[in-house]
Amino acid sequence: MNISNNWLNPGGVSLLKTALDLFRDRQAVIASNVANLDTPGYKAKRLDFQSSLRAAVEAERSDGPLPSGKLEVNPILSEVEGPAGPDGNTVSLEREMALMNKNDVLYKSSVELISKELDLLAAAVSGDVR
Amino acid sequence: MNFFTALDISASGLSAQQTRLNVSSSNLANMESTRSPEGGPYKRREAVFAATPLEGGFGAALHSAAADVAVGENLAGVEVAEIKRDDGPGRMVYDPGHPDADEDGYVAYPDINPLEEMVNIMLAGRSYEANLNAATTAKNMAQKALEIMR
Repeated sequence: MNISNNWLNPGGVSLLKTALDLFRDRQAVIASNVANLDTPGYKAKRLDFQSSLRAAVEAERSDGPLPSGKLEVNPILSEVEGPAGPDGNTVSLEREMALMNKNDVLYKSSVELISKELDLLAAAVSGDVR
Repeated sequence: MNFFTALDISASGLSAQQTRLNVSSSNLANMESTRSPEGGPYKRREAVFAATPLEGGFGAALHSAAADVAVGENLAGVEVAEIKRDDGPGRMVYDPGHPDADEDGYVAYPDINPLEEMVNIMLAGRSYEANLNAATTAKNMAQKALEIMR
């Protein structure tokens, strides 16, 4: 059990931190798809974790008054079923770029949220309400 | 896994597209070359791409920090596996005055279609941009994370 994590964690810094790791991993998966845009036979890959992350948060909440503060997430890496080009490649550059931008925005909003959580904590510690 | 993974993957893409561009440029430049080191006219070349799993240097111990799942083992960069030479007969052009003409007056030129090469060059440029975009995004994400400390 990680007491300090709970103490520091009224709003979910650990959830946000886990999400940041997953967004970063997803960026690597997208980068891999883009790099293999012209590789014959390459199958595009997706990293899905929304449902697993939600289940992990719910499991932690049902853990009782003192949850562990540790989220067990099992992201799923799957191959995209879709129309392949004549060379068997299933990467769609447009789709990858859209997903990458979405992922980027989600990552940056999570960073903002962490900063805000920490600001709140700092305000509570100092008693200095701005 | 860390942000360098994404950057390394994008870098492999940039480098592969660069090679493809060089190969096509070489084909275009040698459209009229009737002599080559291997004898006969220049032979058209083509870069063959292959997905390469991340291993060794940065890929060996790649595990997702969020869960103990080896996402890294399933990711692939790209490399130029081979630069394939097209050993076809070439394009025969009747030009008896040419120093390399055969006894019938025909000269063997490389069988290169400039249109095909130009399209290849443009596609390589676009793919290069896409990889650069992915690298920039990864870099911005890493920089954004540093702002948590501000």
